[in-house]
Amino acid sequence: MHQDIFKIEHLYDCYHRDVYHFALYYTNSKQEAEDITQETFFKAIKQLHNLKDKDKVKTWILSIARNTAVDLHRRQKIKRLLTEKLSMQPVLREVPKPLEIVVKNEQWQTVQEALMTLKSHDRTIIICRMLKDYTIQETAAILGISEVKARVDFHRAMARLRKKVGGLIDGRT
Amino acid sequence: MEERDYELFEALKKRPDKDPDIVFSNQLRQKLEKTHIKKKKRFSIATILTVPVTIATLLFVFNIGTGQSFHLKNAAQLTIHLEKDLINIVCMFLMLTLSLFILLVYYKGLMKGRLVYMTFSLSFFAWVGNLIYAEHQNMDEPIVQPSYNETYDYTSKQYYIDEIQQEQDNYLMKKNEGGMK
Repeated sequence: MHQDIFKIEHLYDCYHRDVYHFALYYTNSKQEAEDITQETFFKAIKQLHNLKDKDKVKTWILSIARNTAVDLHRRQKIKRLLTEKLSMQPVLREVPKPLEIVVKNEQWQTVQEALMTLKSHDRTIIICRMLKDYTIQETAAILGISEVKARVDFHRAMARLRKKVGGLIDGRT
Repeated sequence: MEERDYELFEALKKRPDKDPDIVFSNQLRQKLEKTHIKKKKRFSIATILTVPVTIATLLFVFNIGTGQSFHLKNAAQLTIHLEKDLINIVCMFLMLTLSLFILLVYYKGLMKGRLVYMTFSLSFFAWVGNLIYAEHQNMDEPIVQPSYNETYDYTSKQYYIDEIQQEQDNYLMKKNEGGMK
């Protein structure tokens, strides 16, 4: 038991920042990133005994984080749709004021906004490869796909992102 | 990769709110320390219930396939040996199929699933229900009237036809005697 707790503490110290970063880039929300980080480590505790290969702990925990993020987004989508249906009105999002647009118009936000428009799979690949600098092997392990597919999907995702970033920059100028 | 791509991603890597809140990190660490790891139960309730139900189902199938020892009063009373052999073959085949299915379920570790447990339970209850029904519903045997067919070889089946005729006669005599009383 003591050994397990030590492992979990060690696991948390080593990877909580990675998990949080992934969640933050995936959701672009601090609150959601915290929720995902917490849920990921609680899931990891429950499943720790199933982890056979200790060398793959990083990709294992990030794949949990990815699945948790996908689940959370799905739940929120259903919740939003139900709210819309029940209130018979679309939920209006806050429209930024002109001054906020100017202040917020930073480069990182442009990329983050473009990233948010991509599909879950593409977003995950770009976060892993470009923002966390994981290898193709690690990215493939996190997504549970082959290395060849990870490579091809990464290039396609990058092409889509470039298009989106271009569109956002053109729209603002 | 274009140089502009790297510039954009470097900018995103340096977003100001990138690092997690220290208070949140410490709280979560403490929560994880306090969380006790529950060891996986070797035997769940579903397993404990499924094992006897499965054994009962196997016994049921074995009995049906080999000897009909439940005295199901309204089950088809077989009179022709060919039909009996055919039914036995079908029963054996069904028994084998079901046994293989149960083996597969156990081998694959699917017995924890509620669906499998429910299936086994339902088959068990159906068996018990059938037994109770057969015990309490004591109905007369149905009379099968012989029919004539030109293509049927009556001479070779004469023995069976006589046997059926005899059973019918006996039944009718008993019925008439009962009516006269």
